[in-house]
Amino acid sequence: MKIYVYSLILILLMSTSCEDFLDKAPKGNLTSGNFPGNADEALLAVNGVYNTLRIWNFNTGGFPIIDIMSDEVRKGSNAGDAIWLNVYDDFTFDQGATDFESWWATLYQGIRRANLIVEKVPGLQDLDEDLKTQYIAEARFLRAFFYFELVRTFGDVPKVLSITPETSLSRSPVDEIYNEIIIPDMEFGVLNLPQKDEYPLKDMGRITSGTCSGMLAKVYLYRKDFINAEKYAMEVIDSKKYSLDPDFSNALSVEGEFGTGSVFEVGAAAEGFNEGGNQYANTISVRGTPNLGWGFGRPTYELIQEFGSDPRADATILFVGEVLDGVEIEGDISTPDTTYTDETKTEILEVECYNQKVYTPGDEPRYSFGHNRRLLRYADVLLMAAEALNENDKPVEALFYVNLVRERARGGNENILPDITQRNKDLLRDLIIDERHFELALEGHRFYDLVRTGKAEEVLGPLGFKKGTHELMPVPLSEINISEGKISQNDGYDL
Amino acid sequence: MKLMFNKVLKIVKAMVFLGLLFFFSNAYAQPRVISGKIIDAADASALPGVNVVIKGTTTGVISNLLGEYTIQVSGDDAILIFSYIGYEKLEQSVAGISILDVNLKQETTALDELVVIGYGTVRKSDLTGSVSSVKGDDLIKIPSSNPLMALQGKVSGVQVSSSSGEPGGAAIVRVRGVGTLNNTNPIFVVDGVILDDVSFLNTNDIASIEALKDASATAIYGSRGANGVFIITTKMGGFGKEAQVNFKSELSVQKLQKEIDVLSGREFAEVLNEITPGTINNLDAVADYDWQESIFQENPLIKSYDLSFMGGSDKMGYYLGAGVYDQDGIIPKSTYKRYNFKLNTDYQIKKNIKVGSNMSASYIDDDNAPNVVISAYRAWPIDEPYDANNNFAEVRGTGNPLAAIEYSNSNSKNLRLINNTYIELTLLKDIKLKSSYQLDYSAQREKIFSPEYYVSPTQQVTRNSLSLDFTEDRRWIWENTASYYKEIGEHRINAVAGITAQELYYESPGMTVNRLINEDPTFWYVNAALSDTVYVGDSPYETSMSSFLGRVNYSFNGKYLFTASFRADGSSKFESNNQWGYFPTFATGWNISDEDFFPEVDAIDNLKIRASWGIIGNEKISWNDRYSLIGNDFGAVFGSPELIQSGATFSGTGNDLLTWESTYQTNLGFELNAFSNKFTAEVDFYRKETKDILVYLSVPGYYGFGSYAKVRFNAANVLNRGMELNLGWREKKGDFFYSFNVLATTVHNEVLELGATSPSDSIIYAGSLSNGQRVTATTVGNSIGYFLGYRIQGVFQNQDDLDTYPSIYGQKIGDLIYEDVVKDGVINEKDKVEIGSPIPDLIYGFSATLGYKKFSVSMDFQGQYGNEIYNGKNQTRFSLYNFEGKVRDRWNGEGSSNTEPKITSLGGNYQTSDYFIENGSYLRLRTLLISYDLPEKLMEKAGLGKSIIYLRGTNIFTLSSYSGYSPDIGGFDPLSTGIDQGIYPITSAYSLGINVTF
Repeated sequence: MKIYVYSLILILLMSTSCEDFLDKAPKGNLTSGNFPGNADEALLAVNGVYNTLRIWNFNTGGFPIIDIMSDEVRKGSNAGDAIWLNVYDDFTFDQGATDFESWWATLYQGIRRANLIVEKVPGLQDLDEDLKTQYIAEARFLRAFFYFELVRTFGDVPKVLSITPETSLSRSPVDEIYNEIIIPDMEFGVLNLPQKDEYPLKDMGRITSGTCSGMLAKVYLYRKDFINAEKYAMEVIDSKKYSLDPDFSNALSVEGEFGTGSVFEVGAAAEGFNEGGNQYANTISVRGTPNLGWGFGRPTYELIQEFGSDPRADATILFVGEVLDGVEIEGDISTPDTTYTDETKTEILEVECYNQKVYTPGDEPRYSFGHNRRLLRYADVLLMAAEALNENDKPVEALFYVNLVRERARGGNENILPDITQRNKDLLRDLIIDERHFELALEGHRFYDLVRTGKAEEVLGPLGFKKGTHELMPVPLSEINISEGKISQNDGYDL
Repeated sequence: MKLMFNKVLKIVKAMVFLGLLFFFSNAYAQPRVISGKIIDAADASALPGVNVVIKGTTTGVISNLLGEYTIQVSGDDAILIFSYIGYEKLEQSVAGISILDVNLKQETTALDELVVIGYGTVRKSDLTGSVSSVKGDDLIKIPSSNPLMALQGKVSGVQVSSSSGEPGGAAIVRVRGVGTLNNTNPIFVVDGVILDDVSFLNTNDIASIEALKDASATAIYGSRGANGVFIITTKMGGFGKEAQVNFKSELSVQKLQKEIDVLSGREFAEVLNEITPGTINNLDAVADYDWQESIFQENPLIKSYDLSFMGGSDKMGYYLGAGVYDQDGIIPKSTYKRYNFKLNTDYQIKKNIKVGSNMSASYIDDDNAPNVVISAYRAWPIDEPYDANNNFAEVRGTGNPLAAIEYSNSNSKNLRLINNTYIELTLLKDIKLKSSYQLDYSAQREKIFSPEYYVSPTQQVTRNSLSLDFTEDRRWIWENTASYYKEIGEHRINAVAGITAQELYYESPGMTVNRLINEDPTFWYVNAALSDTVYVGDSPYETSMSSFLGRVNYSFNGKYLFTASFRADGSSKFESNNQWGYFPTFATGWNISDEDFFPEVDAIDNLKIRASWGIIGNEKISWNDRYSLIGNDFGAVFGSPELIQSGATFSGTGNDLLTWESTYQTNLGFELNAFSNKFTAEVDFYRKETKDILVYLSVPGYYGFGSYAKVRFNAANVLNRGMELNLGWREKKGDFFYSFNVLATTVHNEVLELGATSPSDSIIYAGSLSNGQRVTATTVGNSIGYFLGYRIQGVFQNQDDLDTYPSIYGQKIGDLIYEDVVKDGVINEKDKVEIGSPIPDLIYGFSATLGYKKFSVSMDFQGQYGNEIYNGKNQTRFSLYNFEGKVRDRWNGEGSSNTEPKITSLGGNYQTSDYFIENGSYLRLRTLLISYDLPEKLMEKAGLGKSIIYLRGTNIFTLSSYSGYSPDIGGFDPLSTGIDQGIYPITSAYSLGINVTF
């Protein structure tokens, strides 16, 4: 009989089963939906927007392709490395180039992270109203900045203002993006964000009112609205929160991080990405010995020659054989010291050298992850002011600001870089663009400057630049394909 | 068994001798009576019910309860046939004798041998599924830590390849092709416990492995069956079995099978001068250092010792096994030690209650090999390892491999406990209720220490670091089944039904610290760190599954067989609306040779036809594919001084609509036994189509999911079809016995659908080399993960060629000409075509055993045909490295070579192309075993029983044109297999062993 009792127990045991058993939530991980749900999470989410600035692909897709397109930079590294990048040296890229795809997607990734703040933070109950406004302003500026990168690179782009993406968007006109997102978002920041010195020291590097004004000045230059460009550039200057570090090299060095001339800068630590590192400089910095990076984006031989006696060359271009901080730059064994255009070796194509603006002391790749990328420097603001003032027929003031930059560059040597005195608007415009060329070389500005001032064909034509096409980059082919054609292509790229 | 066989043989011989004697002396017929007793040769127990028939007549009797029989025969020339189910048929002459006692030997190749299937056993003759069986004796032929490596070339339909030759390296097992784009590993059921990995198992403890291949066999495992199921049964003593002690000791010496042919110092110097004239001024003064020789140890040993006890009393049975496996790798610091303990017990506690447990414990101490195979391959042969002060010198190209070994310290220790405890009640004689609780617990600790050192600017560490990672993997399964077995006349029913639940918990916290106060091993602890930066991580998850299962086997008259089974699985990996999957199967078998209409062919003992259809699933997908998570690794750096502030935001996008992948499999099989069961043949044709395969599809970039973000969908569809053949012949003739076996498998693998949402999804690129170049592609209409690249058309011989054919990346005269397939005048992605496939057309093996008296020799050959290997290590060049020997035939002027380009270290010639494709077909002498049974008398004197001493060679030779260490190259990711990126060499081994039983 016992056996039946046992059996009964077993059968009863067998039939126990419950639905909850199959419900297993993630462990130690929030899921999207209720995030951010409180004040602490709101700060985390805001920092998450800034985090986008350290994503490798945020930097023109990863490799410095926009610089490579300019006359300042060639592909770099050794001849066989990442050869697909050669297409940016001679403008033979097409819409399938994946660098655009990852760049585009990363900018939208930043936009989504910013939209998360704009969408969720206003509803948080436990968040102080001032802080709430500040968080939203920080996120909105960054959103505007990502959109600005998009429109100046790709032109019309899909307009996304929500974290729940609409599924069949087409491209919105550039003007709409500027007028409905970029300008209002940045203006909101100008009005609602603290000045640089109003943040506690630990928050140095957050978006300031000055960052917003400076970027707005740039936005208006691209819009050719020189009145507003002047206005916002002068706001930065008149705020007296910024000045030029007397030493040009400090504007970009590790020592000069978050220095007096820093308007918009991406903080980074000499660690891996998760711990705060940024691979931007590692991609560009010295390849070989010391082992700081991959060596992409080599300064052109032309740039070296154009610098002439300009002392800024020394802090811009790092030559093989130079000794910095007691370390000799030996470079890469697979890269010839000098490469010629042909077998007869009469004309130099390039010499092995590196971008010194991203140089970090040390002899390990890790150190280059600590370089703070400067997205907006005070010198840039001064030159923008000069440019706008010149366009607004105020050559005297324009000359004052451009000469401030030259004076600092001179480093006390009165025999070089004399003050510019040209007052002819057209000629002065060229001189200011040239000044930007030398002051801001290798920092990602040159190509855009040439395009927006209409000089691209003249300067870059010999490299392969085609007017009417290369002013804008191709919309990633994947984007067009997935949208089944709802997303259109820019002129000259559709095959 | 062999002992008994010998005894029987002796008796038979004696009888035959006597019979002959009588035949000649008394050669005329005369009716008389023969009587005798029939006993079991193994345990001398009486055999009642044995058929005793006079050959050539229908006259016969049956032995009584005591095994006794009496029969009248017509004369001396009569021959008696003794037959009994499960025993070998015996024919005996009666010439000159009136008392004939007979020992019958249990049949080993019987059709009525029981085959282990999921949740039960079935007679081989009643089997409707495709199941292959390998006995433990066959497995221990390979000196490997992983029992699965021994299946190579042993089971039709199963491909086993190596992920690495590193001690403890995993075996990659594929059953009937690659059925999914995701995890395609089979499951293993060890004494009823469902496991994903059995590398911890001691081969010596295994009694048999059954490979379940078709849906009929695997569908009872439902969502886990699609990639095949291996049922592993460990050894067990039986009730009333005499105690048996077995000791085994084996010592093996390993050898590198071959070195890769690379340039010598002088040759390399010449090449350097061609690349950059004048680099080396005096070619006679350069060093010539063999880096491969420097990193490989000479004669590393494998030592293994096993001790086991097996037996039982009338109410209990036991097996107790202990083993040590200790292997030194061919590369220093890659030692693998494993300690195994196994205890199986069964108790008949009441007449109808049985309880038991199967317990395994293993402890593995594994030094992870330094990653130097590729650096030794690349190192400049003109550089020496040490400088004048005997410090490590800079080795150009790759860093100093010997320094890399010196500074590598990586060890993992793993404790794994598996227990299955069950209780079984027998109810009403025919019904059995069984409840079993299975626990699988694994704890691992991995420690990696990197000291501070300086060899060269590219090979240095400026601050020491210690990483410590713990992994806890804990799972339980509770299975409750009821089984029913009934024979009513011609009907035989065998049914099982059950409910199971299981849960898995995983966590792997880890940390890395820097700047230990001292580098001595006694300080390799995190509390010795001076730096306060600690890097931490964890990846916890929990999954669960509950299931309902049932199966009915029905056979009528032993001729007509039917099987139907069903399983429903619910998994926490899917949202509640789609978390249940249903997996039915139907199968039928027909023992056609038992039919009256089947022609009487003496040679044919049995012919069976079987067919099956079923749906099985694959639940081996990640736990988090359905969730959109918020990650908290997204900090930003602010402040002066700079500090990271934590950040959190979207991390990955899930799809809550995901559901099961399901595989529809049909199978048609034929089994033939002939010539008194000496010949066996089994042929299976299979077709399996996997639908709703999870693939990552592109989403618009403006969704903001990140660069290259993809979301998983159930979208793709893959077909595998082919044939399996298994032929065997075994025979004993007097003192001589021999057997042959041949098996072959063909696989046709084809992707039917990829669910492309955009043209960029119509091709899945994979097979990334370490420089990011991708060499495989998966597209509709082709096999999974084929090699995609340019076809070489020749070498640019002159300016004319260079003007005629398109080139890329500044190619010059002497470089490779890539075929402009689309003929648009440029070489680009569109010109890439299929240049090979890692999936073999044919996998085969054959073996032979020859024995005479106490000697036996056996050989196993194993191979595959029709696949290619991608020599990725040769293509991946970040810098100037040493070159493979084939560059000796390089182009050096017009007309000199049209296949081998001029020397370049980087650039155009290093595109993915068939220049790097090599033939992957091979035939390997997997083992050669010579064994000798030590003389029994001698052993008995020493108090021992049957003892064997043997010599064995493993991987003795490999016929292959592949330039690398070994053509046996697998890959866990089905999209990226067959790519050699510097695999740890697979060695050959020579072993001496002794196996003593007492």
